[in-house]
Amino acid sequence: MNSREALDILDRIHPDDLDAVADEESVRAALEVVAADEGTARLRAAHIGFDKRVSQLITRTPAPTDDLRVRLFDSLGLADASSSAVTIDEPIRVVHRRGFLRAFAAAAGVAGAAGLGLWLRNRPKPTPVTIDGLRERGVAVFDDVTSLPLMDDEAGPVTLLPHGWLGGAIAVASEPRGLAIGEGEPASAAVYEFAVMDRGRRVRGVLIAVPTSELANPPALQFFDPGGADYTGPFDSVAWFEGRTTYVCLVRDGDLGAIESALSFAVPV
Amino acid sequence: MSAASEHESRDGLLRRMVEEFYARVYGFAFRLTGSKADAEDVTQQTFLQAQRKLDQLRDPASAQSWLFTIARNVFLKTRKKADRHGDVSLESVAEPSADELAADFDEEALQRALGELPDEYRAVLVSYYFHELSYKDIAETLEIPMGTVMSRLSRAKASLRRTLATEGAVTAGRAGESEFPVEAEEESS
Repeated sequence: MNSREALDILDRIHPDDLDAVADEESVRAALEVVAADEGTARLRAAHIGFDKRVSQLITRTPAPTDDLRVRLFDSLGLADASSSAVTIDEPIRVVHRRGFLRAFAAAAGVAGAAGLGLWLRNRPKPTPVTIDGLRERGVAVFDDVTSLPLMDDEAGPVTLLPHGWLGGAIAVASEPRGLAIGEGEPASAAVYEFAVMDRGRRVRGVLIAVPTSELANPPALQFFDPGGADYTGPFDSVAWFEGRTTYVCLVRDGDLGAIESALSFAVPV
Repeated sequence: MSAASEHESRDGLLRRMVEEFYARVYGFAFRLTGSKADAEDVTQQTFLQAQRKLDQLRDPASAQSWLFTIARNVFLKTRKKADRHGDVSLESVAEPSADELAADFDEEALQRALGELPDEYRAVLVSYYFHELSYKDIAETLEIPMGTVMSRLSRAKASLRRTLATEGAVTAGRAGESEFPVEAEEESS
């Protein structure tokens, strides 16, 4: 088997299936060819890195216009869910596949099943909060998240952790804490404490989840992107939305790169 | 359940699906079509079909996958027959070096490279990267053998690597070539 054939064999294996087929004769032989030649190993690593880059970029699509949403409701003959006459039901739980961005990531530190859902209490609408306001609240509780009350898990809609935050290398506290975002309001934002290892260093952070509808200034990003970071004193943060939920990730200055790496995968060379 | 409440339930589910997934479906459609207007059309057709076929959705937890499947099929059906180029095998196409693959590229370059792929190849590739489907799932949703999925994906990835690694120079230098054979796909599963 030459290098080209070995790379072709490995390139055809789905990252999720690597473990399952690693003992197959052709795969083992291909891995041996790659391991035996530095240039082939470099090319294999480059292929994996390229896959990672494409995976990251391909979901960075333009946001649809709100007009599309309105047209969808019209064409389907549905009342707009934003109408006050319509009750918004519990969101649909999405089962994310373990994608290959996360396929090589360490499985340790995964949030428990209880961490899959958090709920955001159904309640009268509070005064809209801003991203900056959330960020400041996050800074205030950054070192003492456990002082916040646990969110009541019995009522209200269930939402998900952001894409890629479950089942990867980020350890997320299984029980979200509740944060009131308005004066005298019941808890309406969920606060998760999380940690990730970065070259032997433990990086801590706080992830705040809040219904986008309660924000005065929804974020523009649709994914975690350190390039869209804002800064509050010694903290860095990124805000983005997924579905109807906005997330604010807050870490100490310079630590966003560790989160980005953890959301990706390790190159197995 | 009365007819009225059943209707209300269907509408409720559909409404939730629009709220939860229309942006993702739109993004998926955008990567397939490369155009905002076409992506909106595909998204709208997707939800109209979903409304008609709602009884086929057994598990709301799989709604997103189900919508993506519909979107993919809408895309393929609304496109003209895919461009077919010459019969150049993968073996004849030089792969970029590791250094060339380290070149950075952005979303726009990626979209241009995707746009150069024949529709069937792009559908497989976007399903793989965007939707993170397994080969088996891609094969089932596109109703093609798994060997064909692997073959198309391999060629599409090779094309993407080549185009993006040295965007511009490579494109100009290899105009007219294609590694997408009409008959050479593996049909085994």
